[in-house]
Amino acid sequence: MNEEEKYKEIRDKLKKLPKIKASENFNINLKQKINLAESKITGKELHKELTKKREDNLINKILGSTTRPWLIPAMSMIVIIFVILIFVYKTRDVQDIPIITQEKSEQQITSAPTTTSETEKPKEKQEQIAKVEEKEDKKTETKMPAVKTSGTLRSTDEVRQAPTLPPAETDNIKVQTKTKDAKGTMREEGEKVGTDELGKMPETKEEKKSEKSTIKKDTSKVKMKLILTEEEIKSIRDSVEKK
Amino acid sequence: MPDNKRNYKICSDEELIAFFQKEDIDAFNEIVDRYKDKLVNFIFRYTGSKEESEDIAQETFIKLYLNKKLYRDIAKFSTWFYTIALNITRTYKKKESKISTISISDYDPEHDKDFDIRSTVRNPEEEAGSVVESDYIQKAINSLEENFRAIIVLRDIEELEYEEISEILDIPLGTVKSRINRAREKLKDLLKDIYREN
Repeated sequence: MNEEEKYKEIRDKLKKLPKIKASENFNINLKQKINLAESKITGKELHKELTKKREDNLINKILGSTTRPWLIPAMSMIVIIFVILIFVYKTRDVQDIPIITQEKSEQQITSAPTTTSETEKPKEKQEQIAKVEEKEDKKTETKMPAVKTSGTLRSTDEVRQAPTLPPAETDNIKVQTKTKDAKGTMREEGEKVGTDELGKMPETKEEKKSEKSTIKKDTSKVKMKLILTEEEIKSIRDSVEKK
Repeated sequence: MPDNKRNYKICSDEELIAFFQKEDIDAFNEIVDRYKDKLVNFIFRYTGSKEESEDIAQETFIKLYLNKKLYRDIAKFSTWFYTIALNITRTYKKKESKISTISISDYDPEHDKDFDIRSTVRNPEEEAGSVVESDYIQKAINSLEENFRAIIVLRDIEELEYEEISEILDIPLGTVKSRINRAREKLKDLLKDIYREN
């Protein structure tokens, strides 16, 4: 109340302010404006209704819903299936691309040193070598232990490809080379191989000559088919010369 | 349909709007008759322009006419109606300020010479003096900040209750009271300055 009394003077002044009246045309102007606003609203509503009707007509023309209502679900299903197919097709494309590139890269890596034609050739060679060896074996009749290169040895290409031979194979080769050169000392080492494998020793000169020829052939095969160290080759040659 | 026997003069505002919501145009006309002067006066004191006040008042009635069903019998009709009027006035002033950068405080009293002022029994000298004083007060009101101006007009010119003002301005009751006092203090200072200048 104190606040009200404090500002009593100014409050009285504000209360005494002349009251502004609306003009005489206020009601008429207001009615005109209301009519205008209503007409605008009705115009908008009419426009909306007309556009709706037009849309309905278009839909009816397209689908013929009034005459053929069954077309609506059928059409919608077709559209959905079409969309799904497109989606699936696109997703497949997207998934395939990296796989193809991966496969290509793998092929590039693997196909560089060996091709199918290259792998087939050694097999043929092996077969030919095996046949030749069999013939030679028949000739020598195993007076000397035959160098079993056919089963254990690989083609030159294969050997080159392989960084190291498996231990069993290398041992076998070494053993075989030892049997060739040291006939006297062979018995000591022959224990590893076994006496049965050594077979009978050559006795006649002819037999010795034929043996030498076979050994030479065998060594040449070894040179051709294997990448042996120079020391090994020298040792083989020495043994042949001694013989 | 309007009831011919109905005496709208006796009806309360809430009853009138209820009738109008049932498409009773006479009820709307009664609302217009009751509120047009109040509304024009309120808007004039708030904006300081006679033409604008009439236009805004008419716009408020149009809003009421078109959105009559939005009123719910929760608040007083006068509160709801003043809120609409104040919102429209604020948006109107915002639009106006965007168009022209002329300040509201540049109020020219001579521009509003043809005001339809309520006739009071006064001699011409007294009347001339009161007109000059009312112009000064209006000038002071126009120079107030928007929040103070609204609260002063609603409380000290339109003589609305604190609760109603609180609802119209959407501020707490305590804020209304404190803000009114601050507005009065500012107005007092402004009037002093105006009197000194003249």
